Amino acid sequence: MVRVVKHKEMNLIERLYIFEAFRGLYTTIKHFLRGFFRYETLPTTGYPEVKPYIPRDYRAKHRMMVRPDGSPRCVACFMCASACPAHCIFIEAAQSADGRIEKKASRFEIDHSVCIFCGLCVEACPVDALRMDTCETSFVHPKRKDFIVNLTDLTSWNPKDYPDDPQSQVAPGGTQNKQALEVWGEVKC
Amino acid sequence: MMEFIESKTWIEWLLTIAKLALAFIPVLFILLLIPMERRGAGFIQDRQGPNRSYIKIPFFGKIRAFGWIQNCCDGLKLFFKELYEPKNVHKVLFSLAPAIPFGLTLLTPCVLPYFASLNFTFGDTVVHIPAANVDTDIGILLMFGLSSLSVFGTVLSGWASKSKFPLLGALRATATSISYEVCLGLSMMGMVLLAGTFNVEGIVSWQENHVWGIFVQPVAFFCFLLSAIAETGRPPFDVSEGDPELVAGYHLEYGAMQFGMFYMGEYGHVGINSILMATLFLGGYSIPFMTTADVQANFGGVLAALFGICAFLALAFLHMVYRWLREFNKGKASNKDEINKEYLLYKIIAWVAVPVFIALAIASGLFLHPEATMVNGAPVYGIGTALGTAAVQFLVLMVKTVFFCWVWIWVRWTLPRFRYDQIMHLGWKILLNIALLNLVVTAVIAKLVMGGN
Amino acid sequence: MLALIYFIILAVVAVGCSLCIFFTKHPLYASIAMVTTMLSLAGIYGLLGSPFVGVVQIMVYAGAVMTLLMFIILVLNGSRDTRTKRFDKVSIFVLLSVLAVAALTSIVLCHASFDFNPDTVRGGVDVTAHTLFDVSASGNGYYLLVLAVGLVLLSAMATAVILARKRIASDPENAKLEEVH
Repeated sequence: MVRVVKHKEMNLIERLYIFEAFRGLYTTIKHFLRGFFRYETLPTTGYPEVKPYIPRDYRAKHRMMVRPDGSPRCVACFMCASACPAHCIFIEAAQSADGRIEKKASRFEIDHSVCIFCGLCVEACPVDALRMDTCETSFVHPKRKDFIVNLTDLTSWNPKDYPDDPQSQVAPGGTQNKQALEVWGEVKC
Repeated sequence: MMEFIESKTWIEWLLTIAKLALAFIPVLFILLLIPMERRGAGFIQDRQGPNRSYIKIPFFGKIRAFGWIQNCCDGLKLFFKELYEPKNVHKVLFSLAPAIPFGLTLLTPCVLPYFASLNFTFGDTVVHIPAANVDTDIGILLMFGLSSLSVFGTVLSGWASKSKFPLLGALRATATSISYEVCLGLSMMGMVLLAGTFNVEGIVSWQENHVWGIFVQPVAFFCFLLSAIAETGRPPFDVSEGDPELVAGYHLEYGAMQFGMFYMGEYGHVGINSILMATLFLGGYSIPFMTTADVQANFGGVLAALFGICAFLALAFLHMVYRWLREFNKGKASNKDEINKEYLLYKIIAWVAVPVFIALAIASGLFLHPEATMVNGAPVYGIGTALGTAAVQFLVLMVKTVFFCWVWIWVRWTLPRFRYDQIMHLGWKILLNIALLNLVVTAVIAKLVMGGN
Repeated sequence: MLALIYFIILAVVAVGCSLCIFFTKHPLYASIAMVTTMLSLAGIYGLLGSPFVGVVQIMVYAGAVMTLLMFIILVLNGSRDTRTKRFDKVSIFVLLSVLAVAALTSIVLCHASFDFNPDTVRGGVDVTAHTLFDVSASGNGYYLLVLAVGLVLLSAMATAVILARKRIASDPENAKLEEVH
């Protein structure tokens, strides 16, 4: 389908350019005076001091959900690593100490300098272990090595930062941790 | 040699040599133009502009001075970069070229008066010191002659870089600037015709006694403004540089302070043209409705008004600071302590300044009554009044000049860039004809009305 | 005294740069030398007490004409002239004619009845014009000088024509030898 856009014919005053130039100057001086005399009304924020609002479903830095006893939820099924188009997830499986669970991840590393933040790993996870709702968007490190996060980094989040999420409150330190721990029970070999 | 030295009294020599410092004023406009340009552009585009660079002082912490520290950062960065030149450049001309526009920026304003000629009694003698460094009857011609030489800097830098982009950029810049210099000269001639002299101080004193140039020569003013903007090669007439075709124009191969010299030359040129515009069309150093004699006679009143305005500006500044801080403290910024400490310094300065200015205003209004001695039927005052009048006139000129500097920046960030053929069309087919017509009409009217020779 | 020092400096610069115009083979350097000559000439005019002529010299010659000349050199890809010999048979005639013109000028200068007093010409534009072109006031010396300068200009024009003809007639095969900058 071809869409024909017809430009409005310019009248004589517009074609003379000079009057339109003055109109443009009027527009810019309005903005300048707003910035100069009403500095606080500028829509921009001083970024590092004032953090911008980032919604919870923004695909940000990963975190690993934990069980009520504090162990990571990952069952080392390699679904996320298979789904990852950038091949940035590295998992090493080991036998779980808990008899009810077959495997656990002894190493789980994500290279954020390679990650494309597509969210496919989160979609693929069968046990809802991996999430991307930390709202952390800036990655600044002095070395390339520092961009690789391991299991400890992924699980070291605070349940108090996720007050609306019941799954996060189950973790140690959360409000529903006690009940959840009772349901979960002791580790059976 | 001794005769030459003894031809003037020591105070004349002192003031004549001190006047040489006035040559640096257009270059010092860089200090004003950089923050004005960058933050002004920010405000026009609803941004904040660069306000991060700071110096640290004890107790008050990081002083950002509303983005003025940015000057130091820009300058230091350019100074400490390595002077780099590509392999095949012509070494001598390559390093000579940036010095030409910058040197001419220092040389050109030698004929501009920043205040009326000093005329005062010193002991028994009456001392007369002309305002401009070079006081000739060809004043403004000398200025245009010298500023037309700055084209060589452009040409040589383009050629010496031995690269096609700088060469093409230099060709375009040269063509623009020499074609608009014609309009510049012609539109200025109307004022020269009315005042009947090339001497810049004569033109200003004509405006002082009659009416500002912008009211008798509005068309010439407009032509002058446009051609001055085009001649400095700043947007919207910046054909010499363009990201898609020519990269950075004639200073493409330059870096560090060599680039900085071009930069300073350009800003100095803006400063000079602003001063020239204020001088030719806005009455120069003259205060509206007052001649220099009036100012000297009512020196106390003028000073009182000046200090009153300063006190008002300080109060307005305080109001803005307090209002901004109130809004800022409502927000969620993490550096509230830092900012509040910094603004404490500004508040202290302004709160000290307000009563000082008011006291000075009252004191000068009540107690300052300079005494005149009559020399050849005209009152001549002491050295204090003369220098004070010069300072007031200098301030007035600077206010007018800063307005024109702002016009430069304002136009730059508003109008889109012209195409090269459009610039030539505007210059040769429109502006030149308007300027010529204006000159002819001015000449006829001046002959009929004023009955000049 | 001061004026004499200034004059010597400016004169040395002027003469030196004029010689440079002859002996440089690159047109751009020649034009730069010419600009410097113009500027020092303007300074000498200023010393003689007619700054108006000096400023016109800067504006017209250094500012406009030489800029255009340089412009053309840049556009035409001006390069070092390696074909024309510095001295050939024509040089003898050139030398002879230069000597002749110099002799003529010196004769004019010696015999002309004008006394040069800087104080009389120092001043505005009208004073300069009056001194230069009012025969009754300053004698016919300046007229004779102007005629001598006219001869120099005529010979320069003839040389330019000869050079241009030579360039057109020369073999285009040699174009490859040109050092392109």
